[in-house]
Parts: sequence; C-alpha cells; structure tokens
Amino acid sequence: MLINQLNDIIEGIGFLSFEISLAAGALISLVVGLISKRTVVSQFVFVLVLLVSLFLIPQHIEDQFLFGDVLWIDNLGRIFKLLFIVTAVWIVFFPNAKNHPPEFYFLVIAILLGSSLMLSANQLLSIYLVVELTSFAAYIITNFNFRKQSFEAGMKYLIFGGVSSALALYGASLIYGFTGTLTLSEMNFDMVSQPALLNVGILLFAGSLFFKVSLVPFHIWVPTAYQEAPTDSVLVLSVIPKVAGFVLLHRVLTVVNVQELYWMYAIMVTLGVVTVVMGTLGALRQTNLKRLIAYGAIAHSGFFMAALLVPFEQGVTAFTWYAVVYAIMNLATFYLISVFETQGIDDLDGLSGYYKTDAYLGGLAVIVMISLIGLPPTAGFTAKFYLFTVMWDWYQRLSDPLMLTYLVVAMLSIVFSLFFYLKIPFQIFLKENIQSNPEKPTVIVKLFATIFVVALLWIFFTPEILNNIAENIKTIQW
Amino acid sequence: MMDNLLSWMIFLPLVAAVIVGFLPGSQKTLIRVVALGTTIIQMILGIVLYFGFDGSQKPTSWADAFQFVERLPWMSLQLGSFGKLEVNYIVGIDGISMPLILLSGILLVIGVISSWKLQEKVKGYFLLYLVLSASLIGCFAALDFFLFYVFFEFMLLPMFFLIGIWGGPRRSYASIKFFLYTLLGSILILIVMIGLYLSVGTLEGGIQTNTFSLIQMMDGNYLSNTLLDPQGDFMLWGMPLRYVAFILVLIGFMIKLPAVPFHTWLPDAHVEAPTAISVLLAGILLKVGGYGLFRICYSIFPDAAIDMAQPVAILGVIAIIYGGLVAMAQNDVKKLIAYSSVSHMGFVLLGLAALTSEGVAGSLFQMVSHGFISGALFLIVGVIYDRTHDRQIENISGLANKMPAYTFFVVVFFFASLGLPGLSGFVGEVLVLMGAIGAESVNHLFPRWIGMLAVLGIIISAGYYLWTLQRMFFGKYWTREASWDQFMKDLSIREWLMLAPLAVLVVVFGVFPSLLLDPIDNSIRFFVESIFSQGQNYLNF
Repeated sequence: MLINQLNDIIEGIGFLSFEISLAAGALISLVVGLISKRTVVSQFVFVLVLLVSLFLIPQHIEDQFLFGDVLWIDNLGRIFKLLFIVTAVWIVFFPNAKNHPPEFYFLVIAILLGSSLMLSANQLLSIYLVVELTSFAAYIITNFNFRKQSFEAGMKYLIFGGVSSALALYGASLIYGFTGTLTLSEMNFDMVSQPALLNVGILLFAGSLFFKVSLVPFHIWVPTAYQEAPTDSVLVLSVIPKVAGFVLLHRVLTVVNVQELYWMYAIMVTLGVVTVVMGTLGALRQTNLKRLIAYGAIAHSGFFMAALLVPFEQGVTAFTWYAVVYAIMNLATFYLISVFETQGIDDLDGLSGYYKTDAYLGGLAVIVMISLIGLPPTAGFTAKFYLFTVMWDWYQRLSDPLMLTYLVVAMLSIVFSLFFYLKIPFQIFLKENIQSNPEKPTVIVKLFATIFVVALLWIFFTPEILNNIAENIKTIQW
Repeated sequence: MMDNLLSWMIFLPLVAAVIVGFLPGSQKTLIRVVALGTTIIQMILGIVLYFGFDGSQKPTSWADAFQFVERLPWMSLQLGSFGKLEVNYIVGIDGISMPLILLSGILLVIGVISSWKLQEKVKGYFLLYLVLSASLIGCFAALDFFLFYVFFEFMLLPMFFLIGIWGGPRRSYASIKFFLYTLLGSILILIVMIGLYLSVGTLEGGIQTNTFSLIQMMDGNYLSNTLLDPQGDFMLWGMPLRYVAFILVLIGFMIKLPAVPFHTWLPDAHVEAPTAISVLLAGILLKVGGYGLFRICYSIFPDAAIDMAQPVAILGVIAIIYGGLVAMAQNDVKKLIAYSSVSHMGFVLLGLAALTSEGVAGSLFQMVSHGFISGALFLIVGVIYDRTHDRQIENISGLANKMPAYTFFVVVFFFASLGLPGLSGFVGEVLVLMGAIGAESVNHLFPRWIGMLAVLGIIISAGYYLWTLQRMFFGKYWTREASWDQFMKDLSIREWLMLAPLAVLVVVFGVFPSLLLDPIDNSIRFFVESIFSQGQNYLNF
C-alpha cells in the first residue's frame, strides 16, 4: 500500500520536471544574487533557467492525475506553460530592466512557478497554495520601483489579496463541509438539493480567482498596481497569473457545471458584462499610459470570461487563441511603454508630437493600439472575431438571450475602446510637441518593437500557425 | 497581367507605399512622382477593366454574374465542432462594382494632382494615400465578406490620419468623430457578418463547411436550423431575425453613405479635410456605403428589402430634402457642398428602395456621376481656399470678372449638380425619380407621392447653387481683405489638369449615358429580378 503510494509519487515527479526546474532555478538565481549584485548576471541566470525549463516541457503527454489526484496535467497546460515562458523571457530586453536588484528575477520565476502549478491544481488546498505563491511574489514585485507610491500600490494589492484569500479559505471550508472532499474532480454537486450555503462557498472560492484575473468587482487593485510596478513586471502580472487564473476558474466552473446551473451562469455573464463595461468606461478618462492600459486589460478580462462560459472545444480554442494574442499584444504594449518611460514619458501629454522624435516607433505604436482595439489587419481582430463567432454559435444553439447581450455589449465596447486607445496615436501624430525633445530610441529598441508588431501582423495574415493549438486541444475535456 | 487585373490594382499601391516608406522624406518630388505613377497605372487598369467587361452576358445566378474572378485560399483554421473557418481571397466585378472601380481610378489620379503643392510631411501623406487607394479598390472588388470587411475597416485608419494630420483647425475633433461613427457602423456590419457566416454554407457527406463567400450568401445557400435561415422563424424584439440583420447592415452602410440622421460626421470631416481628401471622401468613400447597400444589404436580405422598401424610401426623401435645406443655410462653401452630398446620396437610397431597373440603374449612375461632380466641387473650393484661406460665401463677390475660366468650371459643375439636362447629374436623378414614381405601378412597393416629394430636392438644389453663384461670382468684384487681391489669378495649369478631365466626363456621361448604362444593364436587371424572385421565395416560407 505504502509502496504503491511511493511509486506513484516517484512516477509523478517525472512529469513535473518543468516545475521542479523552475523551483530549482528560483533558488539558484537567489544564490547567484547573493554572490553578484550585477543585474546582467541575474538576467543571464534568469534566461538560462527559463530556457532549461522550456526544454523540459514534455513533448506530448497523456492527460492524467499525479500524486493521487492533487495535480492534473493535460495538453492545455502544456501550451500555456510554453506561452508563459516565451512571454516572460523577453522581459530582460525591456529598456527599464537595467537596474533591477537580483531578487526581481527570483520573484518573476516564483510567479511563473505558481502560475504553472495553477494550470494543474486539482485540490482546494493545492489551489490555495499555488494562488498564494503567485500572489505573494506579485505583492512584493509591485514595490520594486522603491517609491512611496509603489509602496502604497503594493499595500493596496496586499490588503485586497489578503481579504480575498481569507474569503477563499472560508469558501473552501464550506465546500469541503458539504461535499466531504477536497478534490475538485471528485466533487459531485447534487443539482436539486443544493444548500444555499454551498453556493455561497462556491462564490467565495471563485471570488479569490476573480481577484487574480481582475474581474469586476475585484479589479480595484489593478490600475494602481500596474501604474506603480516596474513595467517589465507589469507584463508578467498582466499575462501570466491572469491566464492561469482563468484556466483554474474554468476548472472550478466545470466542476460546478455552470451551464446547467442557470443562476450561476447568469452571475458569471453579468460579471463578464460589467467587467467589459467598467474596464472600458474607466479607461476613458485616464491620462497615465499604464493606467489606461490597465483599464483596457480589465476589459480584456471580460472578453476572456466569455470564452469560459462557452463549453466544448470552441470555448477552449477561442480562449487559447485570445490568450496567445493577448500575450503578444501586452508584450508589444508594455515594451513600448517601457521605451517611453526611459525617455521620461509616462503620461499621454508627454507623447504629444512624438513623431518628431521617432515616427517609426510611433507607427508601431499605432499598429499595437489597433490590435488592442481589435481592428484588422492585426491579430487582435482575429482573436476577437473568433471569440464573437463562438459566442454567436452558442447563442444560435441555445437561443440564450444572456449570451446575445454579452455579445452585443462586447462588440459595442470596441467602439468605446477606440476612443481611449486611439488617444495614443492621436497624441503621437496629431498633437504638436509641447515638451522638450526626448532622446531618440536606439536601433535595438526599434528592432525588438518590430519583432512584436510583426508577430501581430503575421498571425493575422497566416493564422494557420496557431492551428497546432487547436490540434492539441481536440483531446481536452473542456 | 490580364488574368489578375484586380489584384494588380489592389496590391500595386501597397508595393508603392512600401517604396515610398523607404524613400528619404526630403525627396519630395520623387515621392509625388511615385504616387502619381502608381495611381495613373491604376487608372489605366481601371479603363482596361471597363473595356474588357463583357456587358452582354446575362447572368442566371450570382455564381456566374462576376467577371475577372480570382480565387485563392487565404486562411483555413481548424476550429472545434463547426469544422473549419475558411477565408478565401476572392475578387471579381460585375456591372455594379465595375463603374465604381473606374470612378475610383480616375479620382485617385486627380487627388494626387490636387495635392501636388503639399509641402508638409509629404512622405507620410502619400504613403497613407496609397494605402487608402489600395483598400478602396479592394473594397469594391472583394467577393468574400471577410475580405470586404478587412478592406472596409482598413480604410478608416489612413483616413483618420489624413484628416487628423493635414486637416484644418478642428481636425482632431473631425477625424475622431469620423472614426467613431464609421467604426460603430462597421461593428453593426460585423455582427451580421458573423451571423451570416454561421448560417451560410454547404453540407456535404455530413461535413458542414461554413463560408464567407458573398456569392453563396447572395445565392442563398443557407444551412438549415441556423439563425438567419429564411425558413427558420427566429424572432428578436418582435421581428424576424433577418429583418433585424437587415436593419443593422442598413444602418451600418447608411452611416457611411451618409443618410440622415447618421450624417453629422460628414460636414465636420469635409470642412477639416485637405482638398484632395475631401475629393476622395465625397467621390469614393461615400460610394463604398452605397455599394455595401447594393451588394450586402439588398442582395443578401431581399425579403427584408421588399418589406421595408417604404421606410427606406422615406429615409431617402428625408435625406434629399433635409440635406438640401441645410445646404441652403450654409455660409461656408465647403459645408454647403458637404450637405448637398447628403442630399444627392439620398437619391441613391431612394432609387435602390424602388427596386425597379430604372431606379436601381439611376441609383448606380447617380453614384458615379456624383463622384465626378462632388470631387470637382471640392476641387473648386480648394482653388479659392488656396488663394484666400477663406471659404465664406459673403466674403467674396464678382469673381466672374477676375477669374473667368474658374467661373466657367464653377458654372458647369454647379449646373451638373443641380441636374441640368445634358450633364451627368440629370441622368442619374431622372432615372431615380422615374423609378421611384413608377414603383407604385411596377411593383407596388411604395406610393407615388414619395417620389414626387423627392422632386422638390432638385428645386432646392437649384436654389442654393444659383444663390451661391449670384453671391460669389456675379455682381461687382469685391473681396473682404484687400490683401487677397494679389492672389486672385485665374486657374494654373495644374488646376486645369484636375478640373478639365472631370468637366469632360460630366458632359460625356450627360450626353451619352449609354456609355455607362449599356454595360451595366444586364447586371442591374439580374439584380432586380433576383431580389424579387428570391425575396418572394423567402417571404413565402
């Protein structure tokens, strides 16, 4: 008996080589940080760790449980691990990354580790642990500009996070009390005789995930945290824990069987719609670049939510598509913002007349904004378009007015989002310079920005390169 | 080259735009020459297209209605249970798109000539201009809804910058308003596009293939049990879903056309845009809206088109009369012409709503003729603005004494626009009115008085044009600022080059309307017939 369990654990470890390499890498980078304080060294270690772990992502795996049923691994997780690493590795090239203390990269690896485990967690306690691992690293990294305001942002983030994880614990204990198990896949909710308190428990537990993925009303920390955290870490925060949180949220919703439970479904749709609306409206009056993008990211969360509510393969494919494109868009956006920051520009007014400094970079910014709005010819359009198609298809099957409302609100939000995203091209090209000329960006900076923008265009013109994703997902029970 | 003429017309400007992008910004003349050369080649290809188009073919279904068709697979995405998302690059022309492509080819060259003197940021201007010209042709040629939509949206961005950077004092307000209005319209179109995509396709051997092909949408290859299937009975807000879709597309394209009450972006955009961009905006971009009504709104939803003929016709008449009355109240010549555009595009809506061959042919003819006339009118305003930097009617009078050649062109185009027989504006308007008044006896779609009311529009337009002529051009020569006097020279060679060809075209099409009406005749007949046969079919389900 004991031998069997041991064997099980030993076998399971083989499938976790990716996570183990990240954990070991995090420790190594901490130790190297003690020896050498130079940023370049820790960047080098960071890239090395990421490349090694990238290499260790299993090529193809059977969907299965590990360690009894604490973890669940599947191909979807594999795809997102790949996405996380490929997104995170670029942060060493951000122009604002010159003077980070070595611990910065340790924390980024910790976020990566926590998020990767979020993709596999299958037990209430392990979910709690990995979410906290990600959150703690995120709280600290928000402070890494070492300013008074970033300290405030970090505290705000910490307090909100603390409250939401306390609620999650309470929710988890309620769920455990009513179902008698901690394992998600073993839970069996009796649809008819569901006690109200269990529903409260589910909502509370899901609430902690809403906090991670910045759904309204758990989005309040986002603008301040994005504004004050170092830009390269904002890229990590805005993509990696968010996507992982959505995957986890989906697992919870599937267990609850959200499509059958109409009131729960209605709540989720409402939250999604409100998130799109609040994100879009909130962005309208922003003047700080990162705050503006932060509100945009909240609206994007609302779009993600729609994909979660559509069951079957379409939902997961649309979700994955959106996640990949969202990662590239955020990469491009925050890279450009990081460039602007090193030139001393952090709000919209500072960008006015930027075309005189560098029209080429301004042109790239236009394409990125167009992609964030979701207009052709960029990948942002393809992702949104595909999501809308899936939503319409779901509406067509069920004639469900809620989904139609969601679809219409999501589409109309594009018009409003035009209004704020367009402010950036507007300032760059249409306004005259009112501030002193910032220094010109270097060729290397332009090269990186070009790579990201070309990726956005390339995916629009040959979306087949993402077909692989669909191929892999086919087997997944979404 | 003959086999893929349309692709050449679409992609040549894009290649030229890349070339312009690599030229140094100081090489202004070289950049202008590249732009001029490209647009001239585009125009020549357009003329080849006109002569190569075989108007004698009588199509029996939309599948064989198109010529110069090119078909290439573009993207094929494997997606979940509804199979593949396939988008094809299909371009082709029929009698409806051919005249509009020809029109675009000619106006694009004239636009380059008229912006020859531009000194600021020449490189960016022509780069955007070339991108715009590519997407315009692409829009008229696309036979795949996805492709059409991409070109349709892609037009907005260059236009936004062209108005926003090179425009007048309130340019930023105007450009954002333009962008927001049009984007709202295109979002409405996007909703319907997704719905149509999931409703149209083929079912072969249990494998369902959805398609974006406009041809299949027009031919009505609906899958059963889909939301937009005419046999289905899906209702939304107490209306069949197909009618809702029709209304959404109608609003989408009416914003672009523009028709009252969605026209308010147009005067702002026109007043602030530089002359050449005004020419393109009035001459071609508005026609994209009209073309969309033909190709998508009416051809795909014939049942709704028949049922809603009366409200659409009334909207057309409102646009004609309201646009005319507002034009009369304007003091700024450019605004006057902008509102007269609204009025004249109302004829397009009215003729289309009538669904008789006269009305539809007139509607198309009106689009082409208005393209030439309004383009010329904006050039005329540009001439006076270049000299005085002012456009107020009351600030100038008696120009006829000082600038006789200029006054001659003004008279020709004003008369063409108000519908003097022998000039092209007359043909379009008379055909539309014949169609609209005849609709009661031909197909009983709407009563006669609607068409008769529209005649008022011609009288109103005569009113404001003649009044403007009298105030600005006749009487004693006078200008508000004495300093303007030295600039009041008659037309330069460049200005002759832009105005004379348009004047010739206006006269030629006015005297020989058959030049245009003959080749498109069969297409128009088929358009009307198929709307009725298909529409009755759908309505009877």
